[in-house]
Amino acid sequence: MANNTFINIATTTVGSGGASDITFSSIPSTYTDLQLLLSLRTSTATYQIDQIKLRFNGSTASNYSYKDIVASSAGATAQSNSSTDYWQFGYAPRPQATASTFGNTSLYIPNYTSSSNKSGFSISIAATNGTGDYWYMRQSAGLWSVTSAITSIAIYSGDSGGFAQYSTATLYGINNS
Amino acid sequence: MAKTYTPIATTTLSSSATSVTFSSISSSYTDLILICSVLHSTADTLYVQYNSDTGSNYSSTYMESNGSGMLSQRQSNVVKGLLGLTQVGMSSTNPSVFFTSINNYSNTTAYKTAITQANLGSAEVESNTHLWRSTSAINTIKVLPSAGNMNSGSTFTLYGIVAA
Repeated sequence: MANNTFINIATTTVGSGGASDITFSSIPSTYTDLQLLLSLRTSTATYQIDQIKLRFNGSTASNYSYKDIVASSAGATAQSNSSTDYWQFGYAPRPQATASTFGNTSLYIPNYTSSSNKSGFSISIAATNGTGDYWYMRQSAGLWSVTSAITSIAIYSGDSGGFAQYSTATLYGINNS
Repeated sequence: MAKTYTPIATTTLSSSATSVTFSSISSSYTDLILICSVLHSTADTLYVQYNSDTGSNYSSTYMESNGSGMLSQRQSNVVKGLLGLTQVGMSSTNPSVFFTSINNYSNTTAYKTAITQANLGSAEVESNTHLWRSTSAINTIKVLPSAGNMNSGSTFTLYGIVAA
């Protein structure tokens, strides 16, 4: 019988009072790939939709690049960022958005312990019930130009306002054998 | 404990290769997931062929961006199914990641479709779908670039998913 492949490494649910960030640390090196599944709402008071970003291994060096396709009520656009100090990979509703709505994001990182630079991809959507430009979808290809194994992932809200209660984040390890 | 993804086979290249093939794929799963992380010597595109079919039985539709513009195109009646990356191509330095879902791969009544997210963070992001006009169950998957070699260190893993 094959071993289970999708293993829950850790789950975080934000409690009352919110959280400034969500961090998975001491990630074991025993898996092949990582998958991060997020249901997020941020706490930054202004506007409806926030961006979310991450850093690996606590690194604030300008070693991140990403290429995006972003869709909204304004249409579909291409975005590009290189040599930044984070990977901005998704969206989440803010307090002004429709109540009780959370953005969904899936992020996949293959070969997170390899000695190559680290590639990954995400798909994310945040939508509210308001009129106007209040929904966003993003497909993002990310690159962390560091050959070290990934041992931690820290997730932040775009304006650093933190995450609201009931936001969840789960990190899974994927085994290829 | 319920099973989720079941690893069928994995290949990590110890030297460069022009293709990687998964053979004798069991029909006992519901869907397949193919994950490729590829280093390539030149900026080429990645494809698949099923069951050794090299006929003009594939079509693909894709949208992609290199960060400065977006493009959507289609390939019809071609000899390979698209995995990506069509505009910038793969890299010899940074792994290009391809995540492909091949749902209902073993049915014998419908043509086979697949959806791929193809990503190279330094250069290109793409979503595409391809069609293989065959009602045969998929039992072989060949992964190959449009030209050149896939470099040592490239990895390819095939998972089966059982619906129940």
